[in-house]
Amino acid sequence: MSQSFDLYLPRDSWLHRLDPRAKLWAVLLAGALALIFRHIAVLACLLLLAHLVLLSARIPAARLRWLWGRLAPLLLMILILQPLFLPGPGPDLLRLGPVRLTLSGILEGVSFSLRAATLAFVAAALLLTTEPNALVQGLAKLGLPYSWGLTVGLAIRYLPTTYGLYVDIHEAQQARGWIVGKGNLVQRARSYLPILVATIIAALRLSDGLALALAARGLGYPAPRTALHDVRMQPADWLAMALATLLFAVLMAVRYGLGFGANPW
Amino acid sequence: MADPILEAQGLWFWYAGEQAPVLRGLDLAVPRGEFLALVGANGSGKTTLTKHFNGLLRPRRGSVRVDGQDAAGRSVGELARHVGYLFQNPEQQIFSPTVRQELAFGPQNLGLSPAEVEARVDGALARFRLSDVAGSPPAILSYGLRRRVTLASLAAMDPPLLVLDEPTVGLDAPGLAETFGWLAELHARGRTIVLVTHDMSLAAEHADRVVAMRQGQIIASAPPSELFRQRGVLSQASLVAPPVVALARALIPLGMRGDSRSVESFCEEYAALLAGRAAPRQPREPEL
Repeated sequence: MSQSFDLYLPRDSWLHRLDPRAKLWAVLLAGALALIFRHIAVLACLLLLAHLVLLSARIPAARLRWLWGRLAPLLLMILILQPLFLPGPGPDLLRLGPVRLTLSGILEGVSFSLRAATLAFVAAALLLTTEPNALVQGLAKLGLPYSWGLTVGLAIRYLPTTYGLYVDIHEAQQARGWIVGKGNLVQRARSYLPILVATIIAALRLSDGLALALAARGLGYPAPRTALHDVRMQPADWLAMALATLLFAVLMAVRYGLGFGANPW
Repeated sequence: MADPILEAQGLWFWYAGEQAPVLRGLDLAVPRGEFLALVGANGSGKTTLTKHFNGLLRPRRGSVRVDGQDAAGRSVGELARHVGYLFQNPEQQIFSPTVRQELAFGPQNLGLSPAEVEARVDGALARFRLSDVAGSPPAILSYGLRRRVTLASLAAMDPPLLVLDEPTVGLDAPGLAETFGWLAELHARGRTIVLVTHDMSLAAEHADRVVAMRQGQIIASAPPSELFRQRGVLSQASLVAPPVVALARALIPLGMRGDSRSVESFCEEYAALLAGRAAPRQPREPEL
């Protein structure tokens, strides 16, 4: 099984040093902004900001390109399907039977794609720069039981592992002559079915084994768990939280005070 | 039996939805400090049995007592202090971002002091020559190294009873020697070891007692030298005596005792036998 990569990238940067709780707060606010605003320019600015934050935290551009590559199919699908199924008001740019294509529909598709990309990169800012155990500890400090925090941490950690499972199974099926991704849309979708079924079964087995292994190593032992490295809020963490809150408040005033950003254009 | 650390009585188990029981009224007592090898063909119930020892499975009928207490009312997490369990597949039991954190996970759960956790982790890293990769993600290590990480994780918890399910799979010769060197140390310190294995040579060489299973029942329980003499038992349990044991048995008519358990002990006995039969030969001059 391939487990050769992890989301977390250890670096010595300001973002890596921030307390996980401060980062969680900032991610929560940025995520809320991405959901509240529909304006393409605002969403593009938020996305750009997420990139600048990641690059300033010494995350290599190659990792950002990798993330864009993983997101591309989803973003493309939104870009194509959104204008076709919800064309919106305005004159038709193109009409093929019941299918209409309008400028507002296209802009709505761009807005939704930008929103999805922004949410993904904002989440990446947390996951690429936060050591998983620190994240679990941060969640525990917020009052979540340790086992819940661990579950969240493991779920995040095992995303790339599950993707690795998919890649392994995909390659194994291809090595045995299974042709994937050829033909029309229905044939392509059907060619992926055996790979997805095998991936789901392998992931379920993995999670079952993991649950047993965690219990066998004393998870649930009736004693307070020892913390080796405590996470503590520093002045820089409070400052980061204050700046994030200030930015959020300003943008909320723009959105609801000035009424700007309710539409994609 | 005096002071058994583990007792299974009248153990019956079947998996949900399955008709045939995997364990059929099995009784087993393991005295403290014993090195026991559990052998048998695939599907004989070895792993199912050992998963009852730390509560991963619960008996349908019968009982399991660990350290004198019924395991029924205790969670797997509680039993982990008494029973360390090594799974067959290292992929399923490594989940931490670094080797050091992986080793610390168990001792931290037990609520040991930070200094004690650090001491145990450092000791296990050194014992299994993992100090150089302590900060590395276990996922990028080779299979053999990951297997060592799982053994070191178990060592860091230092339980009085260790259950090892096929620990030698994927280990090279030095890894194998290291693993059994560690088990020998633990055994000498009075730890109890239950080894599930298909490797009869390892069972013969290291175990105090071999328990053979077939179709969910124990069909024989004896010291290795005795058990490997019982051809009927071996045949029933689909086992083959280790070559060195078979060879020593075959040489009984020539004067061997026939109880050799390892190549080393066989060679020693055979050399003594030859020395007793013939005067030592003069070393030959090298031919020019």
